[in-house]
Amino acid sequence: MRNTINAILFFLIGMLAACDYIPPSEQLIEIDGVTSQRIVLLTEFSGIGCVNCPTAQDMADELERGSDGQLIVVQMHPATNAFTFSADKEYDYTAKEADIYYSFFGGTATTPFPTGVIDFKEINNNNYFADYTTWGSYIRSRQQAKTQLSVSLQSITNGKAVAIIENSTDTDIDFQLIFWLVEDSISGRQLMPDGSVNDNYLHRHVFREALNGAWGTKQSILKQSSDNYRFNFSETDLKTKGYDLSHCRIVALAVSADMSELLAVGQAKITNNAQEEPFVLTINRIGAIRGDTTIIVNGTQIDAISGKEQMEVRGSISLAQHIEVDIEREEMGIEDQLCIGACVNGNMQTSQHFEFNISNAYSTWYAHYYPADHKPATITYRFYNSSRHLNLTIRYEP
Amino acid sequence: MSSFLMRKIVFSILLILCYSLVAHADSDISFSGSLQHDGLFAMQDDEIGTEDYSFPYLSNTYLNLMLSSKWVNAGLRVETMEAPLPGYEGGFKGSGIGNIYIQGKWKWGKLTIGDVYSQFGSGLILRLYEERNLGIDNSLRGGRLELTPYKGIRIEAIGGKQRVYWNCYNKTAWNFNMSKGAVVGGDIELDIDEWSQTMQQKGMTLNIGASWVSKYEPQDTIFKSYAPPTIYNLPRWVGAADARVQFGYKGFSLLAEYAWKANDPSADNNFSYAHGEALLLSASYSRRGLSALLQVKRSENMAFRSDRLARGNAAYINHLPPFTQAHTYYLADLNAYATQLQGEWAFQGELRYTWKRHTAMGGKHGTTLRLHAAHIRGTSDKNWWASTKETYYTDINLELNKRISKRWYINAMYMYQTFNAQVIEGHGELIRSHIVVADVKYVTSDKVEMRAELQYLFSRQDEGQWLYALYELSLFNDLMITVSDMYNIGGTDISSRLNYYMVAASYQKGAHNISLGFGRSRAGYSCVGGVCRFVPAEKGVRINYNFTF
Repeated sequence: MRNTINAILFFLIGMLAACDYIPPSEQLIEIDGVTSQRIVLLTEFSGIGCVNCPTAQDMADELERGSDGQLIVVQMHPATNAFTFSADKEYDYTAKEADIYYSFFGGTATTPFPTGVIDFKEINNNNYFADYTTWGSYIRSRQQAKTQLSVSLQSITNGKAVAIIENSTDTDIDFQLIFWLVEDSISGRQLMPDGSVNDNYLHRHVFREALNGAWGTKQSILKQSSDNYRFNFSETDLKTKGYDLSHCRIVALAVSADMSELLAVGQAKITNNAQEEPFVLTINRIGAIRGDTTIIVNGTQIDAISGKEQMEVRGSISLAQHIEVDIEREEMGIEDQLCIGACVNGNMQTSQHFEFNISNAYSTWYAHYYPADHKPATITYRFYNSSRHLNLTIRYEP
Repeated sequence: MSSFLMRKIVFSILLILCYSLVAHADSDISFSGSLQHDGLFAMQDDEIGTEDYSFPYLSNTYLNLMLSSKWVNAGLRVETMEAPLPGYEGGFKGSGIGNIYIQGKWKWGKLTIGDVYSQFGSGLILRLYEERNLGIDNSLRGGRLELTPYKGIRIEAIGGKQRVYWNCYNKTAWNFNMSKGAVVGGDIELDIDEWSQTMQQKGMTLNIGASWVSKYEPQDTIFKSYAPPTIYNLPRWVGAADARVQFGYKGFSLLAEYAWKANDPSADNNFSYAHGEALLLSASYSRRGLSALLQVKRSENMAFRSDRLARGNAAYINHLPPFTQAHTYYLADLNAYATQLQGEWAFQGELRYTWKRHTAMGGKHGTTLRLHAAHIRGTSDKNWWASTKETYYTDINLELNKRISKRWYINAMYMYQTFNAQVIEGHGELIRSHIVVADVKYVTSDKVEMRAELQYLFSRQDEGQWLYALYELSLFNDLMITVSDMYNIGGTDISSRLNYYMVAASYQKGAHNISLGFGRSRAGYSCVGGVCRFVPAEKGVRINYNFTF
């Protein structure tokens, strides 16, 4: 009988102990924002028959708006899930590659929607899919992870896309480079949370196809360097498929060679700029130059060929077939050489003008300086063509 | 300690135990088990919309081994689903030991260590079970203690980490790390009639029960809003309690059960802090030739999972009975009801009467008539008693079962059904259907039986009218051949009027049962006890093998 009483007491104590009550005043906690270290990709899986998907899309939009460009959202409609009614071709947003990615992540006909994958990474044991209520949390966490690579895409026109990849690590990196076509603001059918059917729902960030195959092309990038990768596509073909290119953008992904995570991502809109293409100038260890820039150089090395004491600034330039360079030198007595494909030597004059016709898609550019007497010197390069110009000022400060 | 080493230790204990038990050659020791293999040679069929299959052969296999003796029981179940049958959730795929336990019995106590199942009362706050058809196995890996210290008193304590597919292979599970998915609970039942001679003499039974269950989960970072960033303060311990009383007297039985759950913000309830509750009332009467049942249930916000972010059928701790009839006829089960955990009012009643043989209605062999009705609505915010105007489900069916002669049997049913597809499946309309079934069996001899079914569904909604026919031939009590076809005669266009045919044969010899079938099946929901799983369309050769030893 005593044992019985003890058992009943244990039962009662257990009832009272194991329960947390959260009063209304303590149910929400405001937390600090975080500084993002990288751009994150949210791949949202959705379907026109999924009642909670509009809520998830609103949530993704809110996350994107508040991310200051640090979040890219792409929405996929895999045909293999029960919520994606692809039978009605008028509202068919499925894509062959969407099915490939969905299957790769372990998606099945019964995977609950809406769901999403963040940066192609598993969130827990063998599971890639994050419920939409947890997207904010996983994205926030991922944004705080330092990145090995960065990807930027310049504005794309005339069927040409260029991705600039920078490797800031001390290791050479192999990766898969993939270009996605994403179309925004597609008006079509969607089942709404209240059960109604909306035939004019605005679908955003819809994945249309992988332009260079589901897993793209294998690439490599050396440590501490940047490279440009060009991709051509047919705008005519895309228009034939019914895509509205004015609403389209290209998303460039650098996925690790073992496909375990997305290393970097970038995006840019497709423009109708029929003028001469803007060029892209990058500096090694700095990245793409987006506006007027000043670089300070204070170290020298010995040029293996000439044996002279030399400073070097090296980078790459893309796309512009014709580019002009004006050089202004503040100090005399500095010998310099500029190479864009071909090299030209400075002649000590205060100003010079050069024109280059770049026959390759990319050209390495570099400038060497041979300071005679270790005095400070400043050279300003003005790179320009009909669509773009920028000033690069290099200051030598010994 | 690594999970690999832990597994080695457990297996070694089991092997030593098996050896020592067998070595003593005690006649009380018995060894039993079963093997179940369900496979499908899958074929693509774009007409019915089958999936793209990554493997040509899909299968689910289960091997159960059990050792029973006077003092100790032990068992394990090996499962392999590397390429599972269509329609199972993604986490279902895998192989390994899905269940292992050892149980010791002594006097008035029983202790089980390993994977345990249990149910408290009607399961409103705890039901741990395996249902292979749904891919459900929500056992706890931990322990279960059952005590019957005195007559009429049963006490149970249970605790462990809940199985969610293959999470039991995490190091955390083997090391009993309760960092996520930990569940503990207790139950006490008192049979008052055991202490009252008066009650026993009058044939009365009175049972009172009470239970509690609590689950532990660490904080998750779930955003309520992003500007400014605001997260939910989530409770780590969520408790639930249940109380019930059951009374029986001379064929009457009354049950009243109430369950309450504390604040449990989760993906199921959109992170609401409201408490959950369920009330279940049941009255039944039965005597020879007559039975009646009346049940009422009200439930609200009673989804109780060990993982607040889980979706689908994973991680449920409890189970709410559906209060609808589980139909065995295909068209009657075409639109099966799934319990709506956000809230529902459910009513169910049944009356069954058997006319005796050699009476006007009973005829020569007797006649049974059964009337069953179920009606389900949503709960309303207006007050506790109010329900929504919206019907979730209605089912009224009248079934006649009669043996016409020595060799002829007939079962006939009429059913009226309303099914709110928007609420239950997330899309669609209110579907009203009339279903008629005729099921005739002819026994030619002890060794040969034939059965034929004809079913017809009429509806002006959804896919319209359906026709289903089945013929079954049973030979020598061992062999059964079945041919069936389901045809959508009311499809909106010709291309949707498809035949879903099936030819199958099954053979039973002793403890072995094997069946082979070829055909195609329509996409739909497979439901057991109010829990449903979406099954995509499939076509191919089905193989099922069962062996019990």
